[in-house]
Amino acid sequence: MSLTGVRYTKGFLLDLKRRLEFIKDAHDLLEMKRDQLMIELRKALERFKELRRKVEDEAEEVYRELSLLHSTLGSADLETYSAYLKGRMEVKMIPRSVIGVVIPMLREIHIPDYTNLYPPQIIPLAEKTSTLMKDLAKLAELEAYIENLAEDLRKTNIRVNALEKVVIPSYEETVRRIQGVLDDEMLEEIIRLKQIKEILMRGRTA
Amino acid sequence: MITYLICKCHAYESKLLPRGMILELASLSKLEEFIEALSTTVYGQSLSEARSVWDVETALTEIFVDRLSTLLRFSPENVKEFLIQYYRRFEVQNLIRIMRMKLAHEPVETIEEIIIPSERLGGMDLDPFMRARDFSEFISLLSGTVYKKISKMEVENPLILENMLRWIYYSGVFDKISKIPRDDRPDVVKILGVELDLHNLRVWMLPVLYGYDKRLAESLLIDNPAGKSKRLLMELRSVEDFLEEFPRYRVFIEALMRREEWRAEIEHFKILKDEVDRRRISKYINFFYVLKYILDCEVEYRNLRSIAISIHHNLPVDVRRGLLILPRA
Repeated sequence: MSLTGVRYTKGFLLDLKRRLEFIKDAHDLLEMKRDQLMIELRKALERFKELRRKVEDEAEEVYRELSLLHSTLGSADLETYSAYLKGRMEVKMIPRSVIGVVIPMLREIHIPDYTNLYPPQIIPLAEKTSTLMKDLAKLAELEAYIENLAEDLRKTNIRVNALEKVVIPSYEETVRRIQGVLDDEMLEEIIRLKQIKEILMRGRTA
Repeated sequence: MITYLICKCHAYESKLLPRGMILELASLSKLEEFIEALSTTVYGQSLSEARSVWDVETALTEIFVDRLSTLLRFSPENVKEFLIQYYRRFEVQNLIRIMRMKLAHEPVETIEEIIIPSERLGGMDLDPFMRARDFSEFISLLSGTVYKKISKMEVENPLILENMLRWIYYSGVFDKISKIPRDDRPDVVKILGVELDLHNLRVWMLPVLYGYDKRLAESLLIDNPAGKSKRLLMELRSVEDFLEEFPRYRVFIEALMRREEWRAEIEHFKILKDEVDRRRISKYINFFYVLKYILDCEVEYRNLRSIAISIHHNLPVDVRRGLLILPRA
């Protein structure tokens, strides 16, 4: 890639060098961001693995409890137990920025209360389901966080690579070219001056 | 006449499935195999059309109700009166189910599916209750029944209403005790007392185990004229107190402590079965044997239902067997 509107002047060269310095700083910053994103992503993935294992265990336990209770009480009783639950599960989400990445954060998870409401037979199942629902919401939040983080990492990586492989080399190349032209011009100037001096000297001696 | 009823119960008892067969059924892996294995028994015809676990449950309920309703045909008037009142436990169970479904605004068709045909057991017609527009209409309909006390109550928590239904039921059963032969009364009362003890114990452990309000738990206790009184029960504060006061219910209490409500449910029936079986020989030609037969029918119904559902959930064989209500070895 070559820059357009290039002028072979000292002023333009100085301006280009200043811009190149700025781009290199930006590249360093983006590299730092990329590293930080990598660290965050690795940490988030670890947390995700842990939480997912927990949720899987909880879901298994809920299903086991449900099967046992279903087998013991029968379908009709089990079906009617849920009728006493008032309200629904509600989740409030707010966007939050973590190292420039916007992620959805669950502000509060409201699970309908079953205390003082359910017959004893169903309470352990209700408790376990309630914990599972809360953790499922947390898992969804973490999943969204990882997705956004990964997307941002991908974009940052593209930017870093673009700066490293295309923008900076083309700037450096242009600087080198202008520098070369200017150097040639300066050499030309010196030789021209030397020739003028020689002509002048020859005129005096003659 | 009562002798005829007792003889009938002995005869019918031979049609109950043997322990070995129940255990065998619990080891089957498919619902089709379960239906096939029962094809040569009394369940055969009803189960022949069953395609799903729900169909199996419905067929089992039909047979169970048939068995109980048959007894009414052979009962002398006094005993019949007692039995009808005793069978009202299924009516109460139905009313509780309807009440819950009304609170959830479920349609009539859904409610009809989960109802035990308790009219065949001498109970009232539940159709108007199922067709009630809403929960308020359901409660107002109770005013014309034995449960009229509930229609005058103003409570928000449906658990209290459920409990009131049970309270009215047990009061009615204790009132009708005079209808059965004098010799059997203490034993029948004792069994009812055990039932109520187990219910009250479970309720009174709610605040200890699940942080329920103590006043609510207090209002859910049912007076037990044949077991531990409410006052005595309310003095118990910790699990140790419960275990000390009810050593015979240790397994039941331990299941509750582990929060294994399903196991507590099984233990509940095991305790009752043990209690009834203990009197089996001495009460061989008494009315008490009729009660034993009724409990045996319910145990078989619950065992078969449990097997069908656990096969449906693909639970391991050892777990399935653990869900059965079998007399302790």
